[in-house]
Amino acid sequence: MEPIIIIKDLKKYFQHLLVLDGITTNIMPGEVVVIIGRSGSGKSTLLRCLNVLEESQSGYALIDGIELPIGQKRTREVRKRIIEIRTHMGMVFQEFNLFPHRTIIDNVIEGPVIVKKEDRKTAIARGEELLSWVDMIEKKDYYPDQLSGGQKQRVAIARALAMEPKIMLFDEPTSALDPELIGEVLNVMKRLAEEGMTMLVVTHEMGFAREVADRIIFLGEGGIIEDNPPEKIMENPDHEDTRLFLNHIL
Amino acid sequence: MTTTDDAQAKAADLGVTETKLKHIEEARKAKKRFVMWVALVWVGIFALLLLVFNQFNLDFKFMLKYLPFIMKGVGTTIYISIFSIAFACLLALFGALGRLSKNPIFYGAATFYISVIRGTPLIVQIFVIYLGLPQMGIVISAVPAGIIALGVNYGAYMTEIFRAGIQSIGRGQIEAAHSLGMTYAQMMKRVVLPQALRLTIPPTGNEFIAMLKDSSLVNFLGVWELFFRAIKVGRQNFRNMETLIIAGLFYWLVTIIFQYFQSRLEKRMAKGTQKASGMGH
Ligand SMILES: Nc1ncnc2c1ncn2[C@@H]1O[C@H](COP(=O)(O)OP(=O)(O)O)[C@@H](O)[C@H]1O
Ligand SMILES: [Mg+2]
Repeated sequence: MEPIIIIKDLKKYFQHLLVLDGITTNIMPGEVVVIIGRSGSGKSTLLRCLNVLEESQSGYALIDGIELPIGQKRTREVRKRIIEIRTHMGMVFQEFNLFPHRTIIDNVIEGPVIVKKEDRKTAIARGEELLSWVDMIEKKDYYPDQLSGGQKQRVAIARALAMEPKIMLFDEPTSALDPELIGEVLNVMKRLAEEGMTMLVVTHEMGFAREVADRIIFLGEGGIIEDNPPEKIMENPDHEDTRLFLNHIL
Repeated sequence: MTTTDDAQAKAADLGVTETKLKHIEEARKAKKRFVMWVALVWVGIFALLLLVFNQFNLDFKFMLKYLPFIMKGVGTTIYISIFSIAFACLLALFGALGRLSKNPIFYGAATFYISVIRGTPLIVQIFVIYLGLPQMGIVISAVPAGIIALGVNYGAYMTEIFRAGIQSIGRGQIEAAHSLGMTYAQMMKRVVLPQALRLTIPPTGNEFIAMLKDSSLVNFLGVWELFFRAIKVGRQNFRNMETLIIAGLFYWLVTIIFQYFQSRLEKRMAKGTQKASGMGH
C-alpha cells in the first residue's frame, strides 16, 4: 500500500525562528497518528503547513497524490492545487470556528454548496445524515452561539466531513472544552477512526491516544523526537525526554 | 428543612424582593424627574432663542408664505443624501478591501484615494467634479455631480468604518473557510462581509445624518435643495434671516427624525449581538 501522506525534510520558519526543522514521516491510509509535544513545539504549525494555512520554506510533501506547493509563487495553478489539497483534508480547530451568522445545517452545507458547487438539496440531505451521525440533528436550525462547546465541536467535525475528505486534521479539538464535554467529542473521533479515516490528531488526551492511535509522534526542538506505537511510547519510550514529558502531562 | 425554616426563608426572600422593587421604583422616578428637567431646559433655551430672534424684526407672514416653497427642498436633500451615502458605501467597501489587500496595486490605489480626499476640502471636490471635469469634455449635470462628489468624499472617510468591520471578523473563521477550500472571494462574500457589513450599519447611519447637512453644499451647483431654496427667496426679498431659520429648522427636524430611527436601530443591533454572544460561552 502507498502512503497517503509523504513528508520529507519539511522546514518552516517564522521570520528567523525555525519551527519545523526537517520533518520526515509517512502516513498510511486509515492510520491514526496522535501528535504530542510541549506548547510551542510546532504541532499546530505542522498541521497548518499540511493544508497550507502556513507556507513551508523547504522540503517535500505529497498529500493524497498532490504535491504541496513549497517555495512556489501563487499562480493560478498553485492556488487551484492548494484548494484541491484542502478539499482532500478536513480540519478541526481548537476554537471550533463555526460561522456564527449561519445555522448549524448551513454551516455544514457551506463547503459542498460553495466549493464543490453541489446542489443544495443533495447537500442538505447529506448534511443531515452527518448531523445525525454526530448526534446533532435536533439542533440543525440553531445558531452556533446557542450550543455548548462540545456540541459546536461535533458540528465542526460534521462540517469538515461534509467535504468528504480522505484525511482529517485535528488541532487540540478538546482543549477549549469543559472536562465533562470532552468525552462526547472524543467519541465521535473514535467512531471516525473505526470507519477507517486517516487522522492526524494533536491532543494530550492520552486515554484516547492509547485506545485509538496507531502511532504517537512526540514533537520537540523542531523535529520528531520519537515515533512509536502508543503502548511503546507510554510504557517504555526510547527517549528520556518523552518519558519526562509524559510524566508531566499524565 | 423544617416548616419554620421554610417560612423564615420565604419571609427573608420576600424582604429582599421588596427592597429590590423599592429600588427599581425609585430609580424609575429619578429617571422621570431627570427627563422632565431636560425637557424644561430645552423649552427654556428655545424660548430664549425666540426672544433673541425677535430682535431681528422677523417677518412671520413672509415666513409662512415661503415655507412651502422651501419645504419642497427637503425631499431633494434626503434624496441626494440617500444616493450619496449608497455610493459612499460602495466606495468605502472597495477602499477597505484595498487597504487590507496585500496586492500593491489595490493597496496603493486605496491609500491614494483616501489621502487625496482627506487632504482636500469637500467644496473643492464638488467644484472639481462640476466645473473641472467639463474642461476635459466630461459634463455631468448638477444633481449627479453633487451625488458623486459627496459619495467620493464620504466614501474615503467611511473606509475606516468598513475596514474595522472586516477586521473584527476573527482569524479563526477565515481559516475555517480556507480549510474548506474556499477562495479569497468566496470567503469574503460568504463569511466575512455578511458579518462585517452588519457591524457597519449603525456607524453608516451616523454618516448619513451628517450627510443630510453636508448635502447643503451642492447648492453651489444650483441644485434646488433645501438650502438653495432658502437663500434664493431670502436674497430676492432681503429676508435672509427668515429663510435661514426655516431651512435650519427643517434640517434640525429631519435630523431628529433620522436620529430617532438610528438610535432604535443601534439598540436593536446591540441586543442582537448580546443575544448572539451571551449564550453558550
Ligand atoms: N504566526 C506566527 N508568527 C510567528 N511565530 C509563530 C506564529 N505561529 C506560531 N509561531 C511560533 O511557532 C512556534 C510553534 O508554534 P505552534 O505550532 O503553535 O506550537 P504548538 O501548537 O505545538 O503549541 C512557537 O514558538 C510559536 O511562537
Ligand atoms: Mg497548537
